Amino acid sequence: MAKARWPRGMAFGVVALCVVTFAGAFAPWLAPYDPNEQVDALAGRLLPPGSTRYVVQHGHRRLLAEEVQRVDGEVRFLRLGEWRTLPADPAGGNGAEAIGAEGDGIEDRRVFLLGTDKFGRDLLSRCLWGARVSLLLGAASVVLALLIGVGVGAVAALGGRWLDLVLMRFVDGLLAFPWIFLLIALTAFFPTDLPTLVLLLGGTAWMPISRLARAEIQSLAGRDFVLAAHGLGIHPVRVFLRHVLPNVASPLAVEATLRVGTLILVEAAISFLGFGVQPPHASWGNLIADGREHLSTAWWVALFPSLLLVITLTSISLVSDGLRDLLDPERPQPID
Amino acid sequence: MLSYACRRAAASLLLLYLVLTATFFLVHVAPGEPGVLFENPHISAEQRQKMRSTLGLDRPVGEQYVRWFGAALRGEWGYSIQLRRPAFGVLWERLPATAVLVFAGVFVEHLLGLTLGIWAGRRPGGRVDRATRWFAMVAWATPGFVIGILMIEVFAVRLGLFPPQQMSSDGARNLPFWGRTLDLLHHLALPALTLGLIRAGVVIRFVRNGLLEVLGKDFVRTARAKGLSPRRILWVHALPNAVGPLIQRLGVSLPLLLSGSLVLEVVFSWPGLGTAVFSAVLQRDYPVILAATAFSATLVVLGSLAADLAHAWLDPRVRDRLG
Amino acid sequence: MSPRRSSAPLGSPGAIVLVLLTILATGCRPAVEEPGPAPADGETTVVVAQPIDIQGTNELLVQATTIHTALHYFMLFLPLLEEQADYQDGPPTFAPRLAESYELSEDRLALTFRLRTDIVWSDGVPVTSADVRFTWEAQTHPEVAWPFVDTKARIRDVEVIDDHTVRFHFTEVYANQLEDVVQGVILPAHAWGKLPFEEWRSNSAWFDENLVVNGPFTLESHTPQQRFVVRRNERYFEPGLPRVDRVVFEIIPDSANQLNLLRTGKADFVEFVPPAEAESIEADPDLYLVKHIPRFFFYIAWNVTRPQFAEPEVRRALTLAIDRETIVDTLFYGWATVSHSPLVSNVWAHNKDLEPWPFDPAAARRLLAEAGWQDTDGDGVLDKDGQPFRFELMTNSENQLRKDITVMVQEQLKQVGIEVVPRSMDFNALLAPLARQEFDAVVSGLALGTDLDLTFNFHTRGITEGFNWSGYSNPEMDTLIEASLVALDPAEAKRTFDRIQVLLHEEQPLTFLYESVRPSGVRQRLQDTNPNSLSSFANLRSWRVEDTP
Repeated sequence: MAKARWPRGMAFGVVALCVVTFAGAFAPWLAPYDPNEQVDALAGRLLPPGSTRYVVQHGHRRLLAEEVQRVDGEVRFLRLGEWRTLPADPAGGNGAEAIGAEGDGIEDRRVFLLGTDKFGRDLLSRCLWGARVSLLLGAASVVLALLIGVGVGAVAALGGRWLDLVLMRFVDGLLAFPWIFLLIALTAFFPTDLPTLVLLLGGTAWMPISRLARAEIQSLAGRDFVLAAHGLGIHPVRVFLRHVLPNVASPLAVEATLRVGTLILVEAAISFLGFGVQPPHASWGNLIADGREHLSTAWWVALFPSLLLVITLTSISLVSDGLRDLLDPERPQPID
Repeated sequence: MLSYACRRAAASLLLLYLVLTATFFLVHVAPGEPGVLFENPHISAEQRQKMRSTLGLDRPVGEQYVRWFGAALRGEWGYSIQLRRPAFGVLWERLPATAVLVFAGVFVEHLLGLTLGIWAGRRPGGRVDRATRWFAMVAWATPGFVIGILMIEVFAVRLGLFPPQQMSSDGARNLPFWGRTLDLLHHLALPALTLGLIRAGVVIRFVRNGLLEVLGKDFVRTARAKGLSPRRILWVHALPNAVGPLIQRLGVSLPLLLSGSLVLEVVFSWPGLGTAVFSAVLQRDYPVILAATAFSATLVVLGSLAADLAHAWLDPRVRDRLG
Repeated sequence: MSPRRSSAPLGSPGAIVLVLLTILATGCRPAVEEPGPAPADGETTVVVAQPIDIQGTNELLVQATTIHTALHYFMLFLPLLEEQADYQDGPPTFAPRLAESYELSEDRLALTFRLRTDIVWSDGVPVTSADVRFTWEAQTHPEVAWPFVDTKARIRDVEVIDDHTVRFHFTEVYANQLEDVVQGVILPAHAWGKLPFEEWRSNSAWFDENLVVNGPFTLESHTPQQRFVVRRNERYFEPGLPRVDRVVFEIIPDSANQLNLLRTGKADFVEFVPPAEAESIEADPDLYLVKHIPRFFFYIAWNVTRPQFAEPEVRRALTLAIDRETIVDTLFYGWATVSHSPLVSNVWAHNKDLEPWPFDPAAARRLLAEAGWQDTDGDGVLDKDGQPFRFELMTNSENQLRKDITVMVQEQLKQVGIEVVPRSMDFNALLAPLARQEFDAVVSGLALGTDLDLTFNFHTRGITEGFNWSGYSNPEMDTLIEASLVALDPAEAKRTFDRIQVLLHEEQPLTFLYESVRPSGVRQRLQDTNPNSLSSFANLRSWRVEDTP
């Protein structure tokens, strides 16, 4: 009985993943505004999707106005239910000199397509930058995990019985770590920036890959073509690179694609607990965590990053499935 | 088989030792000191030093390690710095809550997974199969805390059907056994459902693909040719073969007891192990961290041992190979 | 669980299943729980949702968390005198509790207390001077290792004159003698004296099993990490109090979940409502808010040993460049005000003549330019001697509000050309670099005791053994703080405190951010909660449930 395929799903996954990756990669050019800019936190916070505001320079502060009117040379604007006039009254404000008074005026009109967060930052821009961070983090960590995992797996598979035993026990040991706590401990104890996070995530995710790589390589090592290559006196490293590695690439690719997804989920969970990617930088995880505070009043802050995350991970799952079907239709699926 | 188990056990003990040693050095070398040292601004530097020496923290790490290891060998895992109770006692107290949550979650996971997986596997490529597949993927793709928060918002706050947190009500202590169990189940519903949902995706696909594979095999074809009813083929021939590896997977998921449900424990204010260890980590409660590591590593070892043995027990080919 | 057993391998999956079933069965009945009477019909029960669990009933052995203060001082036990939250117009007064009167000797070296004669422990034994002496012995015993033992350092002896008269002897005369004496609740000698002091530390559960109280409530049950329940002490001495029969404290670490309980009618009192949610609580017809001003001050501490923060003018420029008004309005929804002093505005010693520095980035730029900070290379960041003005602003990662503050400060200082890198670590990791002054700046908050002892915050001594993380050292400040501690005349003390605040205002070792008003959420049926800065539960004995029609 043939295995059923779902080419449509695969196509959807590839397209969605491409779109998200493109959005993340070109976030600096695609994002309408600076993702960290707080123009007027008080009047700009938690604006619903589609809100428009005018940026007004007023004294020392830049404010967001709902409406502006020009009445014979004078400019008035509405902010938080209150009409004010430009230029700012030098004597007004908090008693400071109005140095910036001559710079007063309407700067620009902004559209917040997905609304704003608690500091009045543009949610669309933050979601795009968040995609960049989350995807980069997931992908870079998996690359690191692949490097370590395949390395350890290959040495274990080809390095003889004892080395194999020692290395695999070592891997078991690492798997035995309650590693979510390890990650929390490390991200909590040390200030974390992106490269450190990649190291931590990649450094804790390579163990299953090394097991898979070892099993695959071991099963290949006994095959005729590899034995033949050895028999021809080809250098073992060359045999490995030319003949073994290409043959284990497809199961590893499937595994790696899924891992990107799991690591994005792990990062999200750690950020949800308050560690992980640190503000002001956005990742999908901390965007969702931020949104939780405002669930009852501003649903959009948590909804959009959650949707993005779910769509992306579903696509990853689709693509990984598709890859498996394409590359190796006979292989049973791995357990977890 | 016995010698195999012995060899495995020996290797496991060594493993346990290595994991504990690594954890010991990691937590002691990491920056930060137990929170109790700083609870009171009026503690003088001198007094703080005295507290350190009472806790043995003023000694070189190597010496602390030797001392700790000696005590651990005698079965003394020390006192929680934060709670001033035996470290294992702290964990033991929290274990039931997490155990109940995890087992209920695993139950939901398999109930959902088997039902949907079988349903989907019976007619591959059909409408049910496709819907199930999407369900499985979206469930896998959604972070547990997102589902948890949604559940609370909908079923607890909006509809008021289930309590949003904790594992018992105030009055439950005085109810008869069944009343208490009902109360527990009432509190358990949302977190267990959440845990089951996020994990069911994998089981669904697993059962479905397992079924497809088995249904294509010769013995099933033979059975079909013999004219056995499809139901009988499914339940008697195909399913047992398809779910074997699931049991193995169960063993491997034992460590979930400690870490897997942490985020959900936080979301549902569930008084379990995960949150206990979480706070021990932040408070630098070294004895509790080490006890938890020992506990978790033991679970991993036991889990994979049990999984292997179960696998061997179910599959005569493996049994023979192990000799 | 015996640790040895945990590493013993289990032979078969069957054994594991058996273990699991046992766990499942015990899970229905939490392992540690004291049996208690069933709540009878017609009893009034109040439910409180708050985040922290209690660790034990013996004050000397547990961490000094807010919930422990509430449990020991306002539920289970009585102190000799109770400090009042009336420090608005002068130092706080003390209301009689166990002691009905006290008297200071001529030479101020002896303090004699007259105890009430009508107070009994919950087992019927009268409370006597012997309990007071026993308490002092326990507090000062080295093996008990009470963290607050320094409050008793200058008490030479506690002399039992008769059953209800007890005298404290001091080694010297100082301002806070009375405060030091009344620190700590009185413990039951006849019950807890049975366990030798040497065994206290390792046996804190013993006290819960042998609990005898003299306060308005006794502990009915404790289910760790879930709830503890206190029940009225029938032998409590004040007639008619407490006015509720049981108070259930639900332990809910998550603030959103606490509010869920309050909104769904399953809790009557939530100790702390996040400012963002206050409005929605107030709008709910079944709920209302009560407020108090805690004695917390929040600040950014500049490490003055770093060259860029060494000059007071630069620190003042930083204060001017931070828009504290916007921070407070945005994050606190009107539940906080910008402050300028460690002494919050409702404390008697607060200097009312000072105004917080305004938000004035132009003035800040000018001050910075005068100090030599200019953007010479045009990269948008000020520099001086080739060094850009950039620093790390740390805070503890558990505190979302503080992280939010670092994010806002970063954006605001960017406008004057200062680059801020927010960094957060968990609180216990943060303390080490702070104590060693290996940091640039930190957002933090501290509570100031009613003794208004600023030594730990701004005295040179506080650098090594306190919270003077800034490393701020000024001989004039040291002298002033020392004077404030020995000033016996409040008017003189007030003048000293005024001068201290002026000095802090000018020198800005810290940028003071805000002081907050703390809202608690209450269901309409619950009245007279009156939380104050000593504890949200300071008046628990007077809490009252209105009869619902």
